Amino acid sequence: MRRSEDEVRAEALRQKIIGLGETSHRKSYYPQLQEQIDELHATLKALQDSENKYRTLIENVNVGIFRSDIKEKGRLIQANPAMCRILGYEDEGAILEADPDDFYQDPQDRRVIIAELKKEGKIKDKKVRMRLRSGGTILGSMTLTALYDDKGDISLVDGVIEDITEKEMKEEALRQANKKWNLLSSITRHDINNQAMVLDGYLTLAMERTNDPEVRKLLSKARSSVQSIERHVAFAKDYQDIGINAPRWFDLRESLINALIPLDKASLSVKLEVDDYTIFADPMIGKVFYNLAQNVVRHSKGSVLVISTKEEDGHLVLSFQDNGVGIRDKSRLFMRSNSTSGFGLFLSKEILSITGVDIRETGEAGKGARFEIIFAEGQHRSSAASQGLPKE
Amino acid sequence: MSEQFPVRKFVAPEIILGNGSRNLVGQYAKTLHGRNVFLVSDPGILKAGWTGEVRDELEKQGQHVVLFDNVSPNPRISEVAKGSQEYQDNECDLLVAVGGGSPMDCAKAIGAVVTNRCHVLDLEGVDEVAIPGPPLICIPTTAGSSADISQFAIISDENKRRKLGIISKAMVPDVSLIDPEVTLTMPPNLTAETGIDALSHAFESYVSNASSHMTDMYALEATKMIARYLPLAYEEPGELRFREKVMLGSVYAGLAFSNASLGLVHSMAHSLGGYLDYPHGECNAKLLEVVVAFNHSAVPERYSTLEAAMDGSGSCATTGLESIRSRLRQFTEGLNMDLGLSKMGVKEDSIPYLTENAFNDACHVTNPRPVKREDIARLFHEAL
Repeated sequence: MRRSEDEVRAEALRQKIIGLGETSHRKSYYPQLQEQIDELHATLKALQDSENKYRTLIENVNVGIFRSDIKEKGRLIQANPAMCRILGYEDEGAILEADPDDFYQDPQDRRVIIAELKKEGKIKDKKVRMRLRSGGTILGSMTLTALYDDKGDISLVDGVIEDITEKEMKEEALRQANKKWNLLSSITRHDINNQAMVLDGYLTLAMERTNDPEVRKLLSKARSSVQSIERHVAFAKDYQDIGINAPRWFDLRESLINALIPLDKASLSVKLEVDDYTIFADPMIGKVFYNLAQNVVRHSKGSVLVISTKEEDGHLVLSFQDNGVGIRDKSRLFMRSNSTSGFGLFLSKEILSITGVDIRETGEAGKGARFEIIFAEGQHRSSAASQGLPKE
Repeated sequence: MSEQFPVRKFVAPEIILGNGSRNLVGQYAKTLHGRNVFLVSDPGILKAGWTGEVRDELEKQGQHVVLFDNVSPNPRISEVAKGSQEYQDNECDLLVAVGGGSPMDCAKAIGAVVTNRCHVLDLEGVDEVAIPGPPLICIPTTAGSSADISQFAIISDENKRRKLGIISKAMVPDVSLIDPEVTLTMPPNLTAETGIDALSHAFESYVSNASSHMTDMYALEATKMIARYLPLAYEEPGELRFREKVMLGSVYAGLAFSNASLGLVHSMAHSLGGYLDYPHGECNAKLLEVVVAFNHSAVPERYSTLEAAMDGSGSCATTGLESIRSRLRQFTEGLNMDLGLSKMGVKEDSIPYLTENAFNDACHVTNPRPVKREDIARLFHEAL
């Protein structure tokens, strides 16, 4: 006999009430409990893995990492193996027992650092003369972060120490070498200039004493060569500092104005149509701007230069457009061998490439030259974004 | 599966039975890792002093107690919602219920709503409680409902004037502290009503088609004890000896019905109680006899055994339907139960609504005789 829907439903419910099926659970055991336990186990394992990962990282890095308790006279409460190695302690146990003053050649340095930390909350790349357990000295670079208690007082200090002794020594050696090189270069330039001036004088005298056009022509060529030597020497002076100083942020308008001051304004009229930007560049960027403007007079034979800015796909394009003859053969532009204009464009490109800035010429021959300097994203900021930047 | 020895499950809470067992509440709250107890009770029990005593005991053990005593005689959906909100607002972690079936069922529902983050209506039916509630300790103050033992929680849907049943093994409380002393404050009419409820549990579980050897044993023993001692407790409310026996009978009946389930009496009583907001025990009393008459032909020998148990004998000197009917009538009359649904205010035109709700109640699926809507309607008429 076929059972009615009600009868089927009633039987299904009866079976559930008897409770031998999978849906019937006692309070003390139910699938969700197991799920929760499994989830907890998985979380604990993930936590353990994560801890192992960070522990390995901290134990294997080459910089010293520590935590000190400021309320316990600054005694270390944690230190990684690199920290022990840097200061010459055999293990963490030994370094934790040490008096914090013993880490400094001049314990007064420690008090100064703590005072500064209390004021600032953070200290970055502080150079400190540190004392090894053996008594020796190293130069450490210290970065510290204060941790505060409920009352807002500093309770713990987390720190990173890097042994920069060798690095500093190398940098110092480099500085000294550079200084000597510049001195040598300067003396040599001076001597060459003197000799060139003498040579030019004799050539002038020689020209005055002869009417032979052939000889005068040769003497004139010799004088041109002397002047070329002088220009090369002047160039060497201008660019001897290339790449020596670290790149930084500059106000674009201000840099342009400063760079163009020496220009002969009688022969070139400059229109500045730039928006408010700061740019990230080598400190010699002014030389680039000057060189581009100077080229208008020298080579393009233009009388007007328009300097403007526009943004393209996040890039800032700084354009130098003149009304001169333009550039017909662009194949050797920016190349070192293109020496008719000195090393100007080649060195400009070099200066810009220090910070990855690009330069191109996009003008049409006969309608003037147009040089475009392209600052990629991150190498420029609009004035709104650069609010609060320290004025360089 | 053998019909003589069917495979059955038997679930019960941890039961601590005896005078003074209520004083273990603090210790058990601690064992169950409670710190912030949600204490569910009702105004009557509060007035009788039991709630305060339990609260003191909990606080003595360092527990923080949040009291929730706004429970009606038939606990309502809105009360469960309010209770679960207060439980969460106070970040409680353990439930203690002190009272009759109402606070205990309310506490069970509050627990399930809290852990399942749902509305109580979502839990209606069998095995709909996915995640068990927080730990629950019950201290029953009546000898009848056995909500402290059972997998049932019955809540009134006050808007639709019906009762909804939450049936799940996950609703069985963790600990039941059964203390006959606290039933001493029950007035005679409440003693009778709740006692008849316990007798109905015993009757219905014994004839249930989901019964087992274990539930049969408890059902028969319950019938014997309630039949003998309920009239005595009714006559002498202050006599602890009688209270103890009635309480024990109620516990046995609870163990029987929680595992064998019930039958048509409870489906109809739930419908009636939801519609009229009438005490559950009284509804049962009015329906037991007519349902026995309806079921008798399906399991006559079972009813003979029950009748024998009522008379305190183990033999089945069978007598028949009329004999057990008169035995039941005599019993209820002795307790001054006012029979007849019409006296409760049930009218003819309410019967279709009552019938539909009774038919949709899950209790009758284990009734020994299959039930149709028209059977229920006819029985409501007979009981008027």
